[in-house]
Amino acid sequence: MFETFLRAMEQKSATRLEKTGSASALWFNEWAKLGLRAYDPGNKVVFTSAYSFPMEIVEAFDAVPFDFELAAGTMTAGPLGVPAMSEAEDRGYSMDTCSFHRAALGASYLDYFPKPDALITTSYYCDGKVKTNEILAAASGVGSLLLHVPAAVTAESVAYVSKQLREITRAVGEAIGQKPDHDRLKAAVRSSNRARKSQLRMLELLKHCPAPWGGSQLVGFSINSQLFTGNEIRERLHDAFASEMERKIEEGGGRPERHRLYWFAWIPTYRSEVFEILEQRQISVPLCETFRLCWDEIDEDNPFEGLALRCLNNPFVGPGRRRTDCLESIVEDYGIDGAILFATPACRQSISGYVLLKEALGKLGLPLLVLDMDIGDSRSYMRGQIRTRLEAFAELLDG
Amino acid sequence: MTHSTQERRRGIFYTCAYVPEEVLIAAGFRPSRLLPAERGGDSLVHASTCGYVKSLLGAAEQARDSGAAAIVIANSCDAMRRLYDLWEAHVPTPPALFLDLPKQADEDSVAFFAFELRELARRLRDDLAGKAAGDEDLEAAIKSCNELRSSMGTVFRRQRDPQTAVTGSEVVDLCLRACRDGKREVAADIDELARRPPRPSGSGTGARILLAGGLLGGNQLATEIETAGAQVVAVDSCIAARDYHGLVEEGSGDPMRALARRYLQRPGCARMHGFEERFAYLKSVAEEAAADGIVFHTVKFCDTFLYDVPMLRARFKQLDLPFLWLESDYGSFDAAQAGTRIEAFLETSCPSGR
Repeated sequence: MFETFLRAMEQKSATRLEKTGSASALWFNEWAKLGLRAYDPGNKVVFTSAYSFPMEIVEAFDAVPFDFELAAGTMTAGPLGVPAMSEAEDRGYSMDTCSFHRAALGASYLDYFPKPDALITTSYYCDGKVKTNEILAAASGVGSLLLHVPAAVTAESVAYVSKQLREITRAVGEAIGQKPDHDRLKAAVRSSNRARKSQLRMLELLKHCPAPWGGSQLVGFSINSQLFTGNEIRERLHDAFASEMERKIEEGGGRPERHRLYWFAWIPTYRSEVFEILEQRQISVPLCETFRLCWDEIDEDNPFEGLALRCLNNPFVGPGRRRTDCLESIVEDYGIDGAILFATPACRQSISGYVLLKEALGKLGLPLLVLDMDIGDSRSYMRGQIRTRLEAFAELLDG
Repeated sequence: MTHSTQERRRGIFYTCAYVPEEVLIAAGFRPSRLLPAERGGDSLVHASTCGYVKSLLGAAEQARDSGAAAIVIANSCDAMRRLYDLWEAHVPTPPALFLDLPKQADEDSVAFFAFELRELARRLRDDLAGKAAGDEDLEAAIKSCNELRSSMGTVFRRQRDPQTAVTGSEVVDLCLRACRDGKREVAADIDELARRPPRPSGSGTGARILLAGGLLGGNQLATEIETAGAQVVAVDSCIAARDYHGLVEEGSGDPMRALARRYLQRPGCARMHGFEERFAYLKSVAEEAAADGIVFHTVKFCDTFLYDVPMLRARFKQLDLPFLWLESDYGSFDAAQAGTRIEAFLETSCPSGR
């Protein structure tokens, strides 16, 4: 079923790509094609958490990465989401667990997902992801691999994480019957370094007023595109979006802007009016925290240490102040005058300390809206309530 | 260590059973787990966060008034990490110390956790004017804690022995006092339960229930099960059996590593990677206790336990062992609702025991 959904997505995006050549069409098309490769019986499939695990390691193999959360997110955008979640709920998974995880578990039980040959995840961002990875592994009779990333960056934690990365590389090779190709790993790291540079270019362009891009597409891209980390596709996507932004700036395009917001955490995957309401009120979102760059170029001759450092420096690892330390410069550089925390209820790691985000922004004289809304469960969407909250926030921004 | 020495020591709180008390004792402190009796802290934490974390923040004033030197917050789960952030930002006294905690129990993780424990000992000395915890101090603390674990092991054996009069609610009550007051403070009560003579009337009656799962902040659940006519023959919680399971190796030559190994490799909380090991352990607890059924308790919004429930239920169903999942919000137990569900469970699934 999900395969059929991806096939339709692939065809639709291919047509759009041919007609418009747009960056978003390229992104959807590559996303769908990669997803479809996971269903090819000849391919080895590695379930992973692309936004937290170093994907360069998967790139060192002849294997297809498949992110069960991102796939669940795609699924909850369409008609398969609710049946998948319901299947998991019928099997006893509480509505208090993450809707992405319920969708992924249900999809696995309903055979929507391809069969994994290996499963890897990380101890961050959240506990639920670690548990889901293990449950999916049990359901498919494959062992689950976990990268534990400590909270602090120390010589010991770097050594601990890099050793785990080496061990995971070995274990993946064993699970899929291949030897890791160290030249491919180096090439993947090289590709990531280039993508990093093009991301810096994008980040520079996003400072422009009015914003040449942003909103839900930026947040979605910042998370989903990580499935291509270590692959030249990510570089191409960055370049395509950067070129579009440059063109738009040159042509003097962009919507009129009264306010510019910084976006914390995720976005709803199902149809909602959140960004429409913001647009109507001439509020743009030129930057989200998931698109920030928090890592230095990696030494391709020493990939495991460099990748370990990238994990350890992730803003979602360690103390919550990593999410707020940078706010002053972000506000200044991007002309931000408020922020929204998308507070999906099961994302405890992100929302439990919301007060700290509010206080940090308060010190800069800026308001924060905590938008309580589920990430993937359209059944809980309360249209009127969300509209009221967003409009009240817009009025607050207007002063 | 004499009781009077204990009294002179400064108190220090911790929030998770993965914090090795031995390190705190060796540094000259009197450890106790902060288990607030009341709910609170709602204004600082998002509503969809576990009640224990909220209550800990709500108890900040109580912690300050107690004169405790610090609170050690482990990287137990997502909510605990945020508790540390909030405590650091909002509670100047007592200060919070963060202890990182791997999710795995392999030797590399043991080595890393041992490093973290050394760092904790260093901070206790440097930041809190604690004693430098040398190997001798650690060995003495390990020996003392091991003795208590052995005594509690006897209590747990008594609890599951059909001939003894040790009830589950008494055991939970003892465990809660041991957490709140410090384990050495209840040593005499541990001895009393360990030595209690067999009941004169022979075996206890009613279904034999294993009470398992996450944190128990009170003994209401055990009481409800007993009120419904069943016996709580084992309590597998982080305040009870899991906290006392397995001894730390004495005289290993590297006490921090021995501590790290015991704490990571003993039967795990659901926060740890390794469902199969957890299931095998819980099955063995049920078998040892000759349990007729399992009441599995989780604290609302405690993800790590919540995700385990469906697989545990399915596995125990395969073993034909009745399984009831009960959820409560820490600090606000709905006795009537829990009582009704327990009665229904006992009537339908394990009517007269086996």
